[in-house]
Amino acid sequence: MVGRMSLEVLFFRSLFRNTKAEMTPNANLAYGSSKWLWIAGLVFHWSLLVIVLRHYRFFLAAVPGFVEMLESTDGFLQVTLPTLYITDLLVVLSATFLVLRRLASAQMRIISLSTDYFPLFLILAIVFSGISMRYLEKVDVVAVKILIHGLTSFSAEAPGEIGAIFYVHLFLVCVLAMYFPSSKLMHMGGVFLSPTRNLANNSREKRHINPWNPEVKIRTYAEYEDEFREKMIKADLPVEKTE
Amino acid sequence: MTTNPPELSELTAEYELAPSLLKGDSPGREWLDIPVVFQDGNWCHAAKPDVIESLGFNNPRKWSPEDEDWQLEKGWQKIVLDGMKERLGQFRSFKLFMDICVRCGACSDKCHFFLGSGDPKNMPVVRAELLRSVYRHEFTWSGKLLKGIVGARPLTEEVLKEWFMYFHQCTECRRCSVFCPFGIDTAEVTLVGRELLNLAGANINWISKPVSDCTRTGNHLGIEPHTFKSVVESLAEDIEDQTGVTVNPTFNRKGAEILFITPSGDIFGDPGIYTMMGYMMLFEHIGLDYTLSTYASEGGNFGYFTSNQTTKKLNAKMYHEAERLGVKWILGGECGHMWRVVHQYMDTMNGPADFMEEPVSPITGTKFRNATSTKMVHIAEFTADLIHQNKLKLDPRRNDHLKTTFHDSCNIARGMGMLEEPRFVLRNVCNSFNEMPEHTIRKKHFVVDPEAV
Repeated sequence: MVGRMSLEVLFFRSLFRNTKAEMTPNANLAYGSSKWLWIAGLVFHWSLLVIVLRHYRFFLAAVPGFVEMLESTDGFLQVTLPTLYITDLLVVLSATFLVLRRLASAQMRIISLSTDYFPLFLILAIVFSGISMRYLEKVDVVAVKILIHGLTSFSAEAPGEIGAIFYVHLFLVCVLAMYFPSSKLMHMGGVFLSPTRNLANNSREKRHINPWNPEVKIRTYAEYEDEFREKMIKADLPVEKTE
Repeated sequence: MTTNPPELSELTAEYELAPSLLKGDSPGREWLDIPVVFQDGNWCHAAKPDVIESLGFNNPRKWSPEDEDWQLEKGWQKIVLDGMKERLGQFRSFKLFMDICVRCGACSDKCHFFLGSGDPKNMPVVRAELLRSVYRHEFTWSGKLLKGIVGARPLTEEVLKEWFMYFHQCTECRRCSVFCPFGIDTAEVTLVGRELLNLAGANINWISKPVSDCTRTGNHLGIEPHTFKSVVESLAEDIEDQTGVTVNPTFNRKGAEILFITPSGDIFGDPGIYTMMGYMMLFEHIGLDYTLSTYASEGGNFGYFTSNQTTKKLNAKMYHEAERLGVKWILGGECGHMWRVVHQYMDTMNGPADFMEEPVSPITGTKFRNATSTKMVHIAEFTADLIHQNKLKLDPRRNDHLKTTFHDSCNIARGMGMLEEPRFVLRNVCNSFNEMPEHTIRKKHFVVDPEAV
C-alpha cells in the first residue's frame, strides 16, 4: 500500500499507463501508449516542489543545508549570472505544454473549465514574475530577506529599494493561497485520501466496518416459505414447517 | 431495445459524414448546451408503477422517458438535493471525487460508451461533471457565487433527464478509474446518481422489476422454488443423456458443507445453462458436498444498480440461508455485479459471518485466506486450486478444435484483482490460448457485457 501510494504521488504511476485511442482512416479503433501527460505533469510538479523548497532561504536566518544542496544541483549547468536554475526553465516549459495541451484537442477543450485555465495562468504569472526578479531585474535579495523576516516577526519596516515586481510576485502568491482551498488544487491532499488508491484490496480477508451501517428490513426465509410452502412440499423440497 | 438496429455500413457512413469528437471535430458549443434527445434505441423503459409500489420507492406512476412531462412529484428538487447532501456526508469517495478532479483528460478516451458513440457526455470526466456541476451550485461557495464561470448549474428537470440518460450509459466497469491519477471512480458517481434518480422516482424497469422479483422469489427472474428445482433437474437429465454420468444436485439441504450460489442466468438460458451443467459435472466428479438453495437462488444483485440499501437487502439472503442451513462456507458461481458486491460490500453490509468458517477446500485442503472474513470463494479460484494441486485429470487435446482467448470480466479483474486464475484454468484446458492486444486486457480491458445497467 505504501509502495503503491509512493509510486502514485512521486512518480504518477497511473498516468504512466495512459493510452490514447484514435480512429484510423478506415474507422477502426487503435490504442497506443501516451506518456506526454505523465512526463509534463511529473516535471511540472517536481520543479514546483524544488522551487518552493529553495525559497526556504528567505524564511530561515541561516540558509539550511538542503537548500544549498538543491541550489547546487539545480544550477548544475553553471551558466548565466545569477546561475540558471534548470527547474525555472523546466517549470515554464512544462506549464506551457500543459496549457497548449488543453487547447490543442477538441476533447480537452470541451472538458476544460475556466477553473482549469486559471491556476495554470496564475502559476505561470508567479513563475514569470519570479524569473523576472531573479534574472532580469535582479532584485536586492538581502532586502527581500529582511522584509520577509520583518513580516514573519510582525515588525515590518518600510521596504527599501525592492522593486514593484516583488510585490506583484507576493500578491500573486497570496491570490494562489486564497484560491487554493476552494479549487481543484486541493488534489494535493485529495490524492492521499482517495479510497480507491489508499485501501488494500483485502475486503474479503478483513472486515471493513461501516460505522453507520443502516438496518434494512429483508424478506426472511420464513416469509418466503410462508408464500411457497405448498408448492415446495409438492416438489419434494425440504420445508421448516409442514403446515 | 430498438426495433431497427442499424447496419454496419450505415454506422460507418454516419461516422464518416457527421462531425464527431472521435475524429477531433469540435461540437462548437459547451457540453452543457447540448440538449438530451430521447430517441428510438437510446433509452430504457421506465419502471412500472406496481413494481415501484411493491418496493416502496417514491412516486409510482405510469410514465415514459419520451414524455415531455415526467410527472415528477412536487418538491422533487429538494428531495434530490437533500439526498445528495446526505450522501456527501456518508461517503468519503463521493465527497472527494466531487472536489479533486483536475480535468487532466486521462480518462476521457477510456470509456467504451464514448468510443462507441463519440458523445462527449460519455467521457467519464463529463459524466461526473453532470453531477459535479449541480454539486458546485448547491454546496460550494465558489459555485454559489460565480455560477457558470466555475461550471456550476442548478438542478432542473432537463438536468435530471440528462442524468437518466447518461447514468444508465455507464456500466460501472471502472476502466476510467484505472487511468485517473487519483483513482476517481466514475462508477461511484454513477451509483450516487442512480440513487438520486431513484429518490426522484426515475427508475428503469430493467433494473426495478428484477429487484422486485428477487425480493419475492430469491432470484431476479421470479423463478419459484418448484420451478427452480425442475429446471436444474432437467439440466441433470441432459448431462446424463450426453455423458452417461448421473449428477445429484440437492436443494435447501441442511448440514451440507458448502452452499453453492450462482446467478439465475445460469439456469435461465444459453449460454448460462452450459456453465451450470459444467458446475454440476465438476462437483459430481470431485465429490463435493454442496447444496443449492431455492431461497438464495440468485448470486447477482440488481439492487446494486438501485441503491446501497437495496444492495444490502438483496444480498442479505446469502448469509441468512448459510446460517439456516448450517454450511461451512459459500462457493459462488461467476457473475460481475454479484462479485463486486460479495467482494467489496457483503461483509461490511451483511456481516459478520461468524456462523461459518474460513473456507478450506475439502478436496485439496487449501485455506482460502483471501476470503477469511467474507467466507465466500469464487469458482475460478476454487477450480484453479484444484488444477494446481493436480486433482483433475485434464486432456487439453479435446479442445484443439477451438482457438481461445480470454476477455477479462470487469468486476473480477478490476474489482477483485483476479487476473491469473481464469487464465491458469484456460491454459490447462486448451492448447491454444492467445491474449488480446496489450491495452485491452487485464486491468485495461473493456467491459464484457454492457447490459443497460
